[in-house]
Amino acid sequence: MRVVVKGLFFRYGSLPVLEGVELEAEGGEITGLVGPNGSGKTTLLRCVAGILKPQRGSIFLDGKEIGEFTPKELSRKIGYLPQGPSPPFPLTVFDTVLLGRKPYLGWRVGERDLRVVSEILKKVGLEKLALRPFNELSGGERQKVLLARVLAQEPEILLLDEPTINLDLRHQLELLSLIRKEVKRKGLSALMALHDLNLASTFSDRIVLLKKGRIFAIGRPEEVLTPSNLERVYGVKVKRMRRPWGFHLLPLRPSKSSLK
Amino acid sequence: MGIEKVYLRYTRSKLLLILILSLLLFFLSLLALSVGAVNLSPGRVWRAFFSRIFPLSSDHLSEVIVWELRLPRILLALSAGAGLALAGAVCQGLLRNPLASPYTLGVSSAAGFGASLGLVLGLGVYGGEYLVVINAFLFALLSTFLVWGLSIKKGMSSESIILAGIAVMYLFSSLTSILQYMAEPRALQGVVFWLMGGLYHATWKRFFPVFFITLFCFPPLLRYSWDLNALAMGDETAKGLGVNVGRVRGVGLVLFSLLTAGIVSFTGTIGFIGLVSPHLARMLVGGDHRFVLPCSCLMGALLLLASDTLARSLIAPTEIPVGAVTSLLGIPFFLHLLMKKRREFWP
Repeated sequence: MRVVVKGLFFRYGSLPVLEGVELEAEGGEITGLVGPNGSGKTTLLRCVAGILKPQRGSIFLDGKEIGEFTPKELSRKIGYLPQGPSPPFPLTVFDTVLLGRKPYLGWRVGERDLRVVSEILKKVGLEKLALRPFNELSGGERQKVLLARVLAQEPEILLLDEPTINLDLRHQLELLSLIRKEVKRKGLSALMALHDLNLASTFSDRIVLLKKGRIFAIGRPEEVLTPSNLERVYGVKVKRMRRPWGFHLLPLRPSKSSLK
Repeated sequence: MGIEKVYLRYTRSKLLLILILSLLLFFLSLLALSVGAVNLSPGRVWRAFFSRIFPLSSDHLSEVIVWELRLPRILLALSAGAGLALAGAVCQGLLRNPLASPYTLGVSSAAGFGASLGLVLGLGVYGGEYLVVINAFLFALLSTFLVWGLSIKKGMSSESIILAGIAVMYLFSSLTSILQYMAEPRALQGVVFWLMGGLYHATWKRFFPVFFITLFCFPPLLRYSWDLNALAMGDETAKGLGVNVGRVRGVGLVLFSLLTAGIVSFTGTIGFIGLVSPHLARMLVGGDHRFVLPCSCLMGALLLLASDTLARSLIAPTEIPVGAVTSLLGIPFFLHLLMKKRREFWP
C-alpha cells in the first residue's frame, strides 16, 4: 500500500514539531526515519497512524485521505508498534498477540484468529512461550511478541517506533530481519524510526533524515547518511568506512562548530 | 495446530475455575443461611425456606428469620461484594493502575461525607427514609465525576489520577470528622456505624437496588473486555487497535461511579473488597478481562459473604463490623499470595 504524506504541520500547543514534512512510501519497502531526539520521528508516526490530527497537510493511503477511514478500518490497514509502557497486569503471550486480532473480533475469538496467532508465534519462534505472562519475558522476547501482535493485525502498513530499543545485538538483528522478511514477502510499506544509523542503513531501502521537524535529506542510505549531513543534523563528527556490504559509520566526537 | 489446542485448553481451564468458584459460592450461601444468632437446626431452616415456595407448614419464627433476615442479607452480601469487586477491576483496568479502587479514588469517603451530612445535620435534597442513601449516592457520584474530569484532562497520568483520588479521600474524611466533632452523641453513633459499613440493616428493599445496579452494569463492562485488554498495553497501542480510548474510559468510569455510588450508599464504606478481589481474580485466571471481570465478581461476593457470615456468627449475638472482618480475613491471605507469587505485576 502506498503512503503519501503531503505538507504535514503539527504542533503540540505552541511547540511546533513537524513543519512541512513530505514523503512517499511504497509497498515492499522499509523507510528508515532517523534524526536526533525531538526531531519529530515519533510524531510523524503518530500522525500516519491516525492517532494525532495534523494542523495542516494530509496523509493518503492508496490515494484515500486518512480521515476518510474509520478507526476500525485503519486498525486493519495499519500496524502501529509504539514505545508503549509495559502492561500492569499479567497477559499471556498468546493473549497479547491475540490483541492484534481486536480489529477483527467481536467478543468471541474465531478459529481463524487462533490460527493466525499461532502461525505468527511460530514464525517469530515463540510458540514455546505461548502461555507465559508477557511481563516475565526478556526485553528481546517482549519486543518479538509486540511485533507478532502487530503482524496479527494483518496490516498493509507497518509503523515501528524504535523497535530495537534496549535489545541486545542478537535480538536487534533477529527482529529487524523478521521485519524485513515480512515487508518483502507481503509487500508491506514500513516506516521505522531507528536511532542506530548502522542498523538503519543496513535494513532500510530508503532513509528519511529529520532535523527539527523538517526533512533534511531523503534517499538511499548511502546518499543520505554522509558525514557532512550527519554533522549538520547531529552535530557529530562521523567517520564513514567502506565495507564489503556497503559502509559503516563510526561516530567520533561532537563537532565544535555545531555549538552555535 | 498445537498452540491453538493448548490455548483452548488453557481458556477452558479458566472457565472451569469460574465454575468451581460459583459452586463454592452456592454452598457458602447455603451454609450462611443456616448459621446465625438464633440457632436453628438445618431442618427448620429448610422447612422455613421452602414454606414460601411450596405448600409446607413451618413455624413463624424460623420463617421470619430465614426470609426477612438471613436471605436478604446473604443476597445483599453477594450483590454488593460482586459489584464492588467489578468496580475495582474496571477502574484498575481503565486507569492501568493496580492501586485503583473505589476507596483509593475517594468515592467511599465522599459517600461517607454525604451520609454524615444527612445523619448529623439532616441536610439533603430529598427527605424521608432514603435521605442518607441519596446523600451518599450523590456525593459518591460527585467525587467520581471529579476523578473522571481529571482523567480526561490531557497529560494526566494514571498515577496523578490516583493521587488526586487520595487527595479527594482526605478532603472528604476531614469534612466528615468536622461533622463528627459537631454531632450529637446519637448522630455520632450513626455516623460511626455508617463509616464502618455493614450489612446488618439488610432488607429486601435495600437488596433490590444494589442487585439491579450490579446486574445493569455488568454486561456493558464485560463487553469492554477486549478494550480493557488493549488499554493494558497503553493508550497508543489501544488507539492503533481501533479502540476509542476516550469513549471507553468515559463510559467505563460513568458505570464505575454508578456501581460504586449505588452500592456504597446502601452498605456504607466497605473498603478492601474493591481493591483486592480483582487481584485475587488475576492470580487465578490471568490478566484477560474476559475472565477477570466475572472472576472478580465471584471473588468479591465470596469474600464479602464469608466475612459477613463470620461477622454475625463469630461472637453472636454481638456483631463485628464486617469491614474489620474482611480486612482481617483477606489481608493475611492476600499478603501470603503476594509473597508467594513474586512476579512484577503486583506492586
